[in-house]
Amino acid sequence: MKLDDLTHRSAVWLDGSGPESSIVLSSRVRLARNLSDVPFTNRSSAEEQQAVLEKFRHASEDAGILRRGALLQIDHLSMLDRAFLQERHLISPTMMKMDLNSGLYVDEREMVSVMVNEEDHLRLQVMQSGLRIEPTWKIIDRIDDQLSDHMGFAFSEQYGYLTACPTNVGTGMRASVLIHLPALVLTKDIDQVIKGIGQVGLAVRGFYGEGTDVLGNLFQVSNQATLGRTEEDIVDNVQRFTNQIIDFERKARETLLSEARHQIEDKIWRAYGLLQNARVLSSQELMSLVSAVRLGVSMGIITSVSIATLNALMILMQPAHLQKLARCEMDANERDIRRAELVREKLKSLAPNDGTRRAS
Amino acid sequence: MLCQRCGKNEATIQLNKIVKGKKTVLKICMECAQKAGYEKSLSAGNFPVSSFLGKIMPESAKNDASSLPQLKCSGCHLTYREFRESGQLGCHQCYRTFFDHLKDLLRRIHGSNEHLGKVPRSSRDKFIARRKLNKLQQQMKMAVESEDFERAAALRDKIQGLQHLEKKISQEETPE
Repeated sequence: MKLDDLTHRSAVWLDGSGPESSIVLSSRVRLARNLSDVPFTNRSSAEEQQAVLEKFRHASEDAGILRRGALLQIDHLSMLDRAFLQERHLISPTMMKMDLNSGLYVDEREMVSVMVNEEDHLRLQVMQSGLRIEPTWKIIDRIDDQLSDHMGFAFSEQYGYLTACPTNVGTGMRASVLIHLPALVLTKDIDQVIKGIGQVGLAVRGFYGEGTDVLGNLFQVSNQATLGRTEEDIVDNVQRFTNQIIDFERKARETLLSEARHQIEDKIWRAYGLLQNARVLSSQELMSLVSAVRLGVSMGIITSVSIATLNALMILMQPAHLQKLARCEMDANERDIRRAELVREKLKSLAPNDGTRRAS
Repeated sequence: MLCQRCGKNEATIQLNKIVKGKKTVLKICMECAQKAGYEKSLSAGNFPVSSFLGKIMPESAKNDASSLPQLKCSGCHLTYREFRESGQLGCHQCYRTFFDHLKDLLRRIHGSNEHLGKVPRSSRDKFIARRKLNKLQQQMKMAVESEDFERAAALRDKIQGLQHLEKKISQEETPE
């Protein structure tokens, strides 16, 4: 598999399948692991980092896993390719900037990925569409077991899996959901919800993880503590509070419909109209318009577009993706024009107007 | 206009609330908004974790760092001072080197300093047996303290059984 093979398609975690997928885009579990015989990435030499990459390659070969994919060496990639991978949630903003011997394994469906020599030697990640935290954990648990048979992971009886940053030690696990909360944002109840999430030991982050902005009313909710609880407890906790948040979002949607039906339908149809007709579209505007249309689709107001199409737009219309699709570099202005063009094509081919339910 | 809550400061924030369909608008100042729990921005994660870690280090650890600059990891030569600046440890041995300082820090971050999760598959049996043993020993201690000697004796037998088993496992593991 080559990097460019990913350009035209979107990942399986965006396909709109799975439980609660109209509100929860995806579930993700990541595990931080380090080798015991090499210093952590921030203290290791270029040779040692290269050795970590090789060890990972051999371990996955010996374990007979992770065969259907590619292991890319990040420092051999252009900045555009790195940005492309970041937009797909395959590498972190940190990794994007690092000029180390870092690597990325990614399978052809983009469900399983491994960042090598990020902050920790290995960051295993599994992503699936919808609210499926437990099955996602089970997949990554198995991969971790198989890798650990062939690599000596740094582990202590008291502190568990040892990580470069003390905030990840123990399970090394972060379980998260990417959740779409447009109604809670509209009713302004979101601040209270975020406050509540903090009180139960969960963290809220932006679209691209720690330190990134909230785009398109998409929030990442994840566990905060990694030590002193079992992986199953963490899964259970995130699952339970995600259900609670879904419930809040549903109630906010009901409130909007019963109290401000015309205004909300107007907002949704206007957003749809803009996406179908705009000639210049920034990525920020795209995200907020797609968010409104997505709300419309999941409330049954718009029926001619699928959730999967909208999910895909949010990734495929990002700056690096546009440039990869066009096979050339474009400045912001050119991108905004191209983005509007592509969105119009996508929605025209998929959305004959007569398929939609009209507002009263 | 003045804040509708405290009546003192200039109102800079408008809160729109829809409760059961009734919309109320409240104009308040930043101070009152923060008191009421409204955070200014959603991206509180913008602080680098490292500087944040430095702030929540226990006072004693801070003092120790200045008085013990020679505390250095034998594995990767990271000093405690460097760890405080970067927030990152250098290798797995650092956890042993800085054990006393990390114990408190980890409790602050995670509310615990004991791993209860998964163990690497190769050493799983050994760890699980040891965890079980620790728990039984604690229970035995408590039974003795409450003078429930019958229970204590039963627990002791269980512990001895497990210890015997552990010895057998470790013998099997020793290379010929």
